[in-house]
Amino acid sequence: MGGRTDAEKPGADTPAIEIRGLRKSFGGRPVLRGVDLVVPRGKTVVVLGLSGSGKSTLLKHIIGLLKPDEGQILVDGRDIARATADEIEDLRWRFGMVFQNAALLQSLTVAENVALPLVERFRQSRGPIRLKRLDSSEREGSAIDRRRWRQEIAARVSEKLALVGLAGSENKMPSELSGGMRKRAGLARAIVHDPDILLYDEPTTGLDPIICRHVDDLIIRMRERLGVSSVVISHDVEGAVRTADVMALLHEGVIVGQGPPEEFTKSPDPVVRQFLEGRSEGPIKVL
Amino acid sequence: MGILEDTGRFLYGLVESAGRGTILFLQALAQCRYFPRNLDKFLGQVFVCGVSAIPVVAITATFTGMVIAAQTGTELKKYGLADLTIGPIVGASMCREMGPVLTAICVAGFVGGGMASVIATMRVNEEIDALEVMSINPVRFLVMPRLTAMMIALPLLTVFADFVGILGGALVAQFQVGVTYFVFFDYLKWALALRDIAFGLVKAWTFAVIITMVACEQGMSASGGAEGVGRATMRSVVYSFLLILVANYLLFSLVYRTIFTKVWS
Repeated sequence: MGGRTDAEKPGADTPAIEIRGLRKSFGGRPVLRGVDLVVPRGKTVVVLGLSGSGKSTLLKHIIGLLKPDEGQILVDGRDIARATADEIEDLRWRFGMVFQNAALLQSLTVAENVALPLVERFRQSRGPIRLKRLDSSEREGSAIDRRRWRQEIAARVSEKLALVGLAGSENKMPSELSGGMRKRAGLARAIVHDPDILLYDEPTTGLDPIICRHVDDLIIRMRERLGVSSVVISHDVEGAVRTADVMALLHEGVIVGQGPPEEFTKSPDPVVRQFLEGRSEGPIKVL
Repeated sequence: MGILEDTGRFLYGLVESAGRGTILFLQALAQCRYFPRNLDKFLGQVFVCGVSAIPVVAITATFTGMVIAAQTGTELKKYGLADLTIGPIVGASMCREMGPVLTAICVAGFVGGGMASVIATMRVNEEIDALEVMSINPVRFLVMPRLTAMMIALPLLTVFADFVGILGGALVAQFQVGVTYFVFFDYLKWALALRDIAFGLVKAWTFAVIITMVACEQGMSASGGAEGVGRATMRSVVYSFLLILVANYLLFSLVYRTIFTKVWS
């Protein structure tokens, strides 16, 4: 499944994700103008930016949904931009992604949504599917038994739903859930196959402050309990300070400032300062 | 100038959709190797494509058979030809032309439009992006089961439409034209060739591919929220109608008049 021998596996000092000189234009309009960003293994990087600054475009490049015009996106040292379709499918198995609107399949129950990645993987592949245990730092811990896969997947789904605080919601339809519950169900689906890397697209947008705080706590818990590397796209400065190991600001297609929260929040850069303070006057033109 | 521009844009969109639909069809065929492991999705789609369309197809086909019998029967009766010809005319019209085309038109509107709107909604809600992120091929998950289900359901619906259309024609022949069931079906059996039914099924398979591919292609390429979903649904229905009519003529000219009449003579 992994497609790599032990000798080829990345070392602990290899970044989980490294983006070099990423450029992308749509219809001649440049959106990303040379993004450089490093996501260290087991750390959470929060990319801040105004709406329309290219944050979601950056995330779609990391997961291979978009191809860059120029630049490299190295995931565990492998360039996803130049990978074949099979390699991309293999690399994506290392990711989990929480979408802005959760993107749950409306025709499936919560449990079916969460189980979907595993069920489909079982249906389409004949080899064993190995998953690490929640309480283990070993990546390849347990293999799902092919004879009892339905029961094992159901148990896993319940475990993940309990982890995000949605125990007992297995049989609900997505339309019966509140915004915060949908986001948490989306997170349960993203972690059901124990990914190495989690991507969050504006995880707290549109939620009330208490649910925002709860989602932030979940992001921290995912890093601490599962040891995942995370990229969070957001414009919530308060949440970013709480959850990030590294904060970065994407403005006009480039990263204009990055660093640990304590350094980043003291940055003298006028663009960073205006964003952090939420002022309408300054180098960032609102209109 | 505006009308010419609009017509040009419409034709460009139609050809572009047909081209993208052809690529999607080839991709869906390549995914058919996973068919046995996706039987549940296939069976669900057979219900959507076939069973749910039965009432609409039944009503359309019955009244079409009835109107063919009424129109031709009353005219031919004047010349004393009704007994001899009404059965064969209704049978050949239904099996070769009206059954496949009207069933396809009904299914394109009733099922194809629904299919396009479901997939378009999934596209604009990022559900298809989510499938890709989960390493689930959207063509395998969404398109292949719909294509295989439609290729089974539409020919069966067409045979059903032929049957109820002929029955409708027989009813009108008996009670309005004065041709008994016995005479109607006796001449029908004598005149109706197996090649007419087979040609109808070839048409149904072709239309099944057109309806599914146009609907899935329009759904997959939708953008722009609720408006985009509406646009994809409308285009899916209109493009399907037009491509069905064009394919119907081409199939008659290129397939029936060459292969069927020569091989099956």
